Amino acid sequence: MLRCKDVTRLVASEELRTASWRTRIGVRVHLAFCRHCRRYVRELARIGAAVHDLYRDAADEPEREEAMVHRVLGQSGGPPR
Amino acid sequence: MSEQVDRVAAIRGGDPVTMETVIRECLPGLIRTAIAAGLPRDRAEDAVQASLLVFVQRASEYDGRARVSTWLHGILVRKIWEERRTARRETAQEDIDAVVESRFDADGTWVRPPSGPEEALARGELRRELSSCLEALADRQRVAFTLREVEGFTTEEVCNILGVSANHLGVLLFRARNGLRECLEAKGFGRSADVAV
Repeated sequence: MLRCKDVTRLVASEELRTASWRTRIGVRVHLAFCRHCRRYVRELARIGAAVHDLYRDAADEPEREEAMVHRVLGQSGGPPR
Repeated sequence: MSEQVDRVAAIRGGDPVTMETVIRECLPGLIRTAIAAGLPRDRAEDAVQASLLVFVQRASEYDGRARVSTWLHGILVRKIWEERRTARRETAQEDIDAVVESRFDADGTWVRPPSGPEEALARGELRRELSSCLEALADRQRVAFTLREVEGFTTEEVCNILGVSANHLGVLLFRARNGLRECLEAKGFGRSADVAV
C-alpha cells in the first residue's frame, strides 16, 4: 500500500513515469482517496505553469537575440547577408 | 528523440541555411537556460554565444542520436559548469529534504497537509515572489526544473544535457519542486482565494 510520502516522492521526482504498472495504478488509487495528495499534485502543476510563464515572458528580447544571431554567423563565417 | 536524417546531414555538412535555422530555433531557450543556471542576462548571452561558436565548429561531430537542441543545451550547460568549477558554491539545499520529511508522520501520512498555491497564479502579483523562491534554489535544481517545465525536454533529454543519471535527476526535480512549493506556501500563496484573483 502506497503512503502519502511515497506518492509525493514519485510525483515530484517524476519517477512515476518509469515505475511499474502496479505502482502507477497504486498512485491512481491513492489519489482517488486522498485529497491532500491530490492538492499536492495540483499545486506542483500550478507552480510549473507559473515558472513556464515567468521565463517565457521575461527572457523574450527579440532585438538582442537578432544581434546575437548575426554575431555568431559573422564570426563563424556564416552566410553572407 | 532523434533528429531527422536529412537535417543531421545538413548540420554535419555545416549547411549555412540549416545552421542559421537551428541557431534561431534554439537561441531563446539557450538564453533562458543560461539565466536559469544563475547567470545575469549579459553573461548568459556571452555563454550562449560561446556555446553557439563551439556548436558551429563541432557541427561535423553531431551524430543525430539526440535532437540538436538537446546537444546544444548540453554544450551550454557544460560550459557554464566548467567556468564555475573553481568558485562553485553548492549551498545546503538538502535542507528541503528535512522540511518535506517533517510533513509526514512515521506512517508516511500527511501531518501538515499542503496549503500552497492551488489555483492558477496571477502573473503580476506572483512574479516577484516566485522569482525570489526560484533564486533560493541551487543552480542545478533550477536548471533541471526549467529544462523540464519551460523548455519541455523529456526527462531522458534533461539527463543527457546535465550529464546525470535518472536517479540524480529525480532528486534534483524533487528538491526543486518541493523547494518552490514550500517557499510559496510560506509566503502565504494558497492560504486564501485572494491570491488567485
